[in-house]
Amino acid sequence: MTKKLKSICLEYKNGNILSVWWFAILVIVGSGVVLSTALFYSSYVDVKAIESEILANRIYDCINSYNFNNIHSLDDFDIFKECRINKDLFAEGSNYFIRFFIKDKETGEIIIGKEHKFGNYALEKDCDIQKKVLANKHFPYCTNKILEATTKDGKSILVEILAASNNEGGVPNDK
Amino acid sequence: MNKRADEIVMEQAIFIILNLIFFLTLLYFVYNSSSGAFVNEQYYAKQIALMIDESKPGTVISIDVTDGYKLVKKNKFDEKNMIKITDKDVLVRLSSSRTYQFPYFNNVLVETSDYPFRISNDNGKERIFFDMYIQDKG
Repeated sequence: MTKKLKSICLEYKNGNILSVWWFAILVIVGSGVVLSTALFYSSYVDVKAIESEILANRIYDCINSYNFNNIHSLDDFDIFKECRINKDLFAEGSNYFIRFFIKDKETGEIIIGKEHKFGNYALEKDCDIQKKVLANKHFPYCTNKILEATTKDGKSILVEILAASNNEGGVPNDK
Repeated sequence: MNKRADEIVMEQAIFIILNLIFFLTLLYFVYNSSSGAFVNEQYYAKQIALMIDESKPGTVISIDVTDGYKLVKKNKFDEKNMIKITDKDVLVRLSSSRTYQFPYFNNVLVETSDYPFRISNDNGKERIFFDMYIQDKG
């Protein structure tokens, strides 16, 4: 065994100890250290859950403080103005999605009025998928909230709110 | 005279030197990465954006940026360019090589002074804070 090891190490006729085998070990060890360090220090901090929750809470609070005269009061509700949300971030290709609709509390039926969906509609489907599959880095995180309210004409309603964030941040396009 | 002994010593010396170079290179890389900017840039940008999202007009936000400030000084980068807040994005830069951007959805005006850093002595330890004022856009 010792003789075999010696023969591996002493590759050259003149007894040169610098062998390919040794360099291979150095490369393997070096690659391992570099890879682990790079993976650790380039880790990604995911805040989608917190962001979607903040967004859902914002909408919940602002609808909650809104005066419901009747079940169609929210038809003219300008969510961006009333809830102080930047409309530019809900344009095409947005990383956000908001949806809310009104349900009759007694019957559970959705009261058809104006459709209240804003932002990237594709995230709505991703929210359904995300519930059923394992969490994925590139999927949005969605928060649901239900608000109970009574209109001035005495009708009990539920406002179901869905807020989604798929915001990952990154390097700006111009830099 | 002892040619064989000279050869062995030379080989051993080269072997040790090459090993030293290799391990010193690895150590240098690990040290540089551990004090690197990327995770800190991400951390500050996201923390500031989330705080802005949660705040209402009239709020003053102070965030501890001591570690980031030290990195900026170490990277010989101008601290005035460390944190920039536009009307919808937070941009954090701790070195001249890269900027990290994270948007915020709160439709407010975020104001900072010309030199937004405030030095505070906390039980003998110097901490550096970044101050922001949240105002209504009107």
